[in-house]
Amino acid sequence: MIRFSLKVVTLMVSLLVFTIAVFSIYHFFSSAPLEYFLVRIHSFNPQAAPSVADQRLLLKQWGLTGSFSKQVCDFLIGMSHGSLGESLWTGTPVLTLLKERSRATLSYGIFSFLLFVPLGIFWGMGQSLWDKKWPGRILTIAADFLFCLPSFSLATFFIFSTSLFVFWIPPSLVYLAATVPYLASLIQQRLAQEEREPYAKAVIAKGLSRRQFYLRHLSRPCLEVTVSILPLWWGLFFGASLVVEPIFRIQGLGFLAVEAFRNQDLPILIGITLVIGGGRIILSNLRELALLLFFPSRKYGHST
Amino acid sequence: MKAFSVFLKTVGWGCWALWLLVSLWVVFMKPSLDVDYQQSHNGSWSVLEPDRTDATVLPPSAPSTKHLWGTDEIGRDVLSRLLFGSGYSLLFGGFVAFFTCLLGLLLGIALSFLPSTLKHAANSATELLSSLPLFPLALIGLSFYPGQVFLVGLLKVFLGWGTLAQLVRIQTDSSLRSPLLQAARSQGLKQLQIFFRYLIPTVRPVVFAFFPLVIFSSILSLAALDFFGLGFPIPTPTLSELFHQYSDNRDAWWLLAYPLIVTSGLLFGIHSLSNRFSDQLDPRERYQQVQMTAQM
Repeated sequence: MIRFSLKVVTLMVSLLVFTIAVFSIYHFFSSAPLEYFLVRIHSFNPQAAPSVADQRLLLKQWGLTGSFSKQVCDFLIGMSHGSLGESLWTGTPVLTLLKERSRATLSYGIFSFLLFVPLGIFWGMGQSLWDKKWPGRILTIAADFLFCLPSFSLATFFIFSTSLFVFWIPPSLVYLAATVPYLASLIQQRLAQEEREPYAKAVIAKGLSRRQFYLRHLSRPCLEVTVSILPLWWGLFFGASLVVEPIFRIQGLGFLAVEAFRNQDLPILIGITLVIGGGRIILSNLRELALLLFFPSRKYGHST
Repeated sequence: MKAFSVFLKTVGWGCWALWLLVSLWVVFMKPSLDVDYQQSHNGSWSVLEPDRTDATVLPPSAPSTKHLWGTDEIGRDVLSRLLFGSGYSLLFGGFVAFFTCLLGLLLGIALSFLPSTLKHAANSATELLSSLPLFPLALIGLSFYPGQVFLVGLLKVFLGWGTLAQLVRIQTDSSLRSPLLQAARSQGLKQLQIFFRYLIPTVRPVVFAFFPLVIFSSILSLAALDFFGLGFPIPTPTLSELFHQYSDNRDAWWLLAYPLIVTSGLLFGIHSLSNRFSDQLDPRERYQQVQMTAQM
């Protein structure tokens, strides 16, 4: 219980520091955001250049009137009330936009995750089981090839070179290609390590075939690796979504990020950074908890 | 069968190394090549001119004897652009990897000399740093400074050193506790001597294995940004611009096939190199390989 409470406190502190870090980076880049946006507004519409009073109002509206520490505090207070500011160009609350757009991204995420776990486990198991044989080599080369294939090239290939697929299959395949090789490779390494353990040599010497050994004894290490890779999966998935969604025109968070970049809508970009990074931090802490609860061997120094 | 496999591997590595060398050579030699070319060819087309449009063909033109890999949608040579694109990407990856590894190595060793409470705080800070996503932060930076690729490199170094520092710290911690270093200290060796003679060789494999991985991820990130036109400013040749052109010219298969082969081939080679480094430089792995060979 104490450990759990400590983890929750660490999680809260990490999220707080992370939010301040993102906000600071944003301010580091945009040293004079008002002047920058005024130039842009002016270049689009010369009549729209605001007066000094309007400029003050805009500064106040964007929360840029006080010192940096005050701005950080205002941002954090806003966050605690469920507000991440408003879009600079449409005026829509950022949180509403994120909620709307996250549906599409999460539906693809859940679907590809459900395929990612079994596919990655069987792929890694296959690589390890047939290590020195042709099937194993083919699986290893395929995993390495997918690892080196940029998501945008595969997405371009699917969208323009094939028309046989149902519309949601190609994006899911791209997400799988971006994530599965990592899991397969880590599982292969872990299983190779397990096979060198004395217990493995003992059970094989007693007459258990390698295949039976894999099925009976190695499913738990595979699950352990899968749990430990969760934060990495999150990062890889969102990294791929930023590229895949604009290509397939999926109205998700990745597409929103690219749209926000094109409109230079920084509150949205900050919101997306917080969602991706914050989600990763939460998953890292959940992973630690899950590993402590379900894989007690880690307490004794046996780790992936 | 084994001989065929060895032959394939040799040819693959040879092609990869040749492409790498030529692409770096053309990028480094470009200013002098331009002068030589103007003096000797007197206006005719050359593969060493990636930005020049060939007006004698209808773009995008299919591979021919004049343009071995065809031309893009405005008549520039695909082979030339990919060659230069690879060179620029490799240079970008190399710079990012160099500074990431330097920072990770120095700070990783420094971290292991901190008191345990500070070490814990530093660990949490590096973990937090590695949670920051590169792509949205790069988008924020590029929205203020468009076309500034060095900013992406800076961000990549800033977000990437933490992982290596952690690995180096773990390795240094275990080395500092080893009987060898304790014996060296008792012999009266100075800290600097211990650092160069004992600590650097123990962390060297980690850094060598990490170096190509950083090049790999930097090239991948840059290619993804270039795909949306956010990386190098136009008309700099990039690895991913041709994928974008293919979306407007679906019959031009050479705008998809050659960039795909070059990009994945380049990354595949770097990835294999990283695997090879980590296998060869890890003494435990080497010992196991020797044991397996002896058993066979």
